[in-house]
Amino acid sequence: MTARAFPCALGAVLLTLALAGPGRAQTAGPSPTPDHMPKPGMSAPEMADRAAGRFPQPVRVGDLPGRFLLQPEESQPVLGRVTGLVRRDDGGADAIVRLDGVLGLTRLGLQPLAWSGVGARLVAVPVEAVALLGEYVALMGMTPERLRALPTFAPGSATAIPPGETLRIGIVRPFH
Amino acid sequence: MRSPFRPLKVPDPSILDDHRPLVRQIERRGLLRGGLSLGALTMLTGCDVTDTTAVGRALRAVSDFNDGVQAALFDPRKLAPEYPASQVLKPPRFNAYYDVEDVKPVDGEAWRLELAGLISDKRPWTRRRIAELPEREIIIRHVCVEGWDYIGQWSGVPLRAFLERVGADLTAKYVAFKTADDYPSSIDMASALHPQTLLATRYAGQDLPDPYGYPLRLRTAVKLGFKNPKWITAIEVTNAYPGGYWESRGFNWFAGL
Amino acid sequence: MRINGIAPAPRLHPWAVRVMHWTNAVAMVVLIGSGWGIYDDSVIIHGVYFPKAIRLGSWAAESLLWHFAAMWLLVANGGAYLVYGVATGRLRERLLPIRPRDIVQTVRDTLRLKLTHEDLTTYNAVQKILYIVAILAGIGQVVSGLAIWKPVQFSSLVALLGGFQGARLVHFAGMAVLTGFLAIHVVLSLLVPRTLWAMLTGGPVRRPALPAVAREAAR
Repeated sequence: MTARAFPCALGAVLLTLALAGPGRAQTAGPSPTPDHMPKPGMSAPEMADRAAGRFPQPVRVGDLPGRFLLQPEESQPVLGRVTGLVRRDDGGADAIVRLDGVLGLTRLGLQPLAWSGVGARLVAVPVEAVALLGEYVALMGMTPERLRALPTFAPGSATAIPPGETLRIGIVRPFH
Repeated sequence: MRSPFRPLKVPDPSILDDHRPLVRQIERRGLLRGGLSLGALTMLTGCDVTDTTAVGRALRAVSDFNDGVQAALFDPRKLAPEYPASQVLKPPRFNAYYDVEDVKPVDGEAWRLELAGLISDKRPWTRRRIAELPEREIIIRHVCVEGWDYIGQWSGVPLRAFLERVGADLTAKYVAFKTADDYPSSIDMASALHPQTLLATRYAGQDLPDPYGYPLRLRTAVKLGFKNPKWITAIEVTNAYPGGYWESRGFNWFAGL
Repeated sequence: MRINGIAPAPRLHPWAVRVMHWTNAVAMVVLIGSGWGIYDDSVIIHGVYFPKAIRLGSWAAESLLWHFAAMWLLVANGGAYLVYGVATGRLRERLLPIRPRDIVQTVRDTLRLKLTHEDLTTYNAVQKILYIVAILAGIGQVVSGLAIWKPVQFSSLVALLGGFQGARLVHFAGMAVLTGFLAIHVVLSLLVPRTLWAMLTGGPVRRPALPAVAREAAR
């Protein structure tokens, strides 16, 4: 019975797919523009230059912790979560981001479990590398690979920026 | 009178009237053939507005029908919920048909708001004169056709007050907008006269920042986000369907909330 | 189902039911496929999205056109089905009653892979529950869909569903339930192809419905 059920189930799935029909591979409308995708290996000045072109807007530092850091692509995968901001030695600001643990739970849509902190670590991301996307933050100045390769940030190793301060961070439109 | 919306010479509208029965017939045939036949469903391919297949025409005929349904559902006295200032997202979400890097800021001093169509006083407006008009603030939910939303705090002159002030024909069907970023848009008169429809000049108490439409944009609580043109340069009151940027690419025109 | 002398003997699925069934199938497949396209424009669960190959519509505007056309088909057809089902007594006759011991029996049979479904004219308890869930999910989709379509005109409905994103989530969950139903339904009908054939041709001629007491005695 089970042996018969499998091809039947497969048939059902294929039937559904056939009925749904392959969407035409054209992009009639707003096509995903690869322009906003981070280029691998961007230098700090290049990053800052790009960030300046994203019309930096004032944002209260206290409004940033808790926001998800998204990868700039249509499925908007969560890369991590902002926990706070610290002052860099050069006077700039870094966003401290808690990266997903080894379990990759955010990819399964299980953010609450992933943010329990199991296997997670902190990294410092220059604010020039991120942009505000509504209530999210998007990683614009580096690839996810480079983000994951950042050294682990030790809490207390830099001065936290108080929540009442205002920073200017660039903005970005939705990815699709 | 010169209109920023149309060429100086337009075709005689009676041409369309002469062929209206034919147009109707074609639309109806398209609906029957494409929308209701099972055969059409085997060709579930895409269609944009340039798509002239029966399916594409039928889908757009239903979308036009939905415009009528939405107009009938629209209650001009029904107010959208308003929210406490603590829920306002600062800065708001940005969206356009191009990347934010390509935003071209508008010079507020040189900027003029032009008027056209069924309006008795068509003198252009400056920022200063608009700032003298009575202002209203609304904290409303912005709903994008894509599915996201946020709470925003907008202030500006109610469009109704502005249209009354310039002597617009409030019985006309449409209010159309031209913008500095070449994003034509239009809404129905009932929505234009809704108390939560503003010509917004400020967000969260501050002048609109450049990417959000400085110096003047539409912000209405009763339409999807894409019906809120930014960097408005001209307003026309008209009875001729004006369409819009996304509408000509297949999005529903009424797009009411 | 009236029994009178002139009408031909009623089939298991009268033509009206068959037409409504297949119309509903088309509406649901179109709504689900186009809904996936709309969902992808702004995902609800980050990282979860539907590949282009199974979306209906090559981009959001097309998916929306499909969705807002097929919704009329679903509402009109679904409304007709409910009116028909209540007026003829078909819904009550086929889907009720559901007794706990029947559920236990069906689950036990299913676990032993006894899926013979000898008598097409009656549903087992699990089938009844599945159909009721699907009907309720369909009604729920119309309600949550209305909240998403007209969140200002029906703002109290949106509040009831936990805000605009709450309404989207409910609509998404309803889709998941209906897609799950569809998958089970299609697999089961392929396992017992006679049921599929019956929905195309009308199926066996029905015996006159027995009163509940007699049915009980006949078990």
